Amino acid sequence: MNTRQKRLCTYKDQLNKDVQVVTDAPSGPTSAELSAVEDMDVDEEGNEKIRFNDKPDVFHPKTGKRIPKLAVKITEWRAVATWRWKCAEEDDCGICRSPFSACCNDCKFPGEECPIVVGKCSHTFHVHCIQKWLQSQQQQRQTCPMCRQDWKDVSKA
Amino acid sequence: MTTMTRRRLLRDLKKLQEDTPSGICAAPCDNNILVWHAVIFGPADTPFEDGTFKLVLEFTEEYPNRPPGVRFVSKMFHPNVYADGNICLDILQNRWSPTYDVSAILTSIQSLLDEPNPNSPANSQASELYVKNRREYEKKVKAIVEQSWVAFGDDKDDKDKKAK
Repeated sequence: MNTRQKRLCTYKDQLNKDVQVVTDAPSGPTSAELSAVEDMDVDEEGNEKIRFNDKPDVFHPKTGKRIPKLAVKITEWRAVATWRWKCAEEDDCGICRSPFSACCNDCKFPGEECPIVVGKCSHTFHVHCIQKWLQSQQQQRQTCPMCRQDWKDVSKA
Repeated sequence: MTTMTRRRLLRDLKKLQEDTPSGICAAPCDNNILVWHAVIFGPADTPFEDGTFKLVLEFTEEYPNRPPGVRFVSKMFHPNVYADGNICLDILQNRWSPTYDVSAILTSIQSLLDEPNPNSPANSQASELYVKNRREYEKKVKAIVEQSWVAFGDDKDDKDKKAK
């Protein structure tokens, strides 16, 4: 194995490690990604242009894993935030069939005006939807529409 | 009409179109979303097989907190269906839940066809035959299955005449 081949191996190892850190995501590095760097290495005599090791290593504050360095410099970024209710169920309200992230069928905007509630049985609904159902039950037992157990709101606790 | 009921019914319709249970069709009337027409096909390997039974569902402003009124328009011979087509089914009365939708109602009625409950008879003759003389019961069912096709053709003719 000559020096050039050794270097190539080191790069590939380096890249594999880097990519593993980057992707806790389900799919690993694609072969295209790997071969791209390999090509660069082959194309460029002496590998001077790939500068993985120029800067000091940076480690993740929580996991302690080394954070891979980028081959690009970020000059500007814009953040976008999403929110969702803290509940076990991620889908739709069983009564109005609208997603929990949207409001009930009587409201105009999702958010604090149209919150969700969790019952003792762990079933979740928009507060407006379950209120209307419980009111309509009147003298009967007030039950969860999903499991027919007695409805008890535990989300306020 | 309350927006809540209308939106929920539109969601029911969307769900039906995206994920239609086999042997069921339903759609609201052109000018009134509170009234739906539906067809249930008799389940295979039952005496109701090949039947095309028409139903009408009438919703109120209180849907989904109150069940719709559901009745067969096609003639039916079944222990739990009254002469006027009204259905005796717990989930349409005291066991109703607002989590049910059009799709769930119609699938329940479809499975009720071959799984009648002779203990709460709405048609005493059907109930009695179902328990005591299954052969005669099935013969009567076959008869209404055939009637369901005829009624289907008639209705189509009526519509054509009206259109003209």
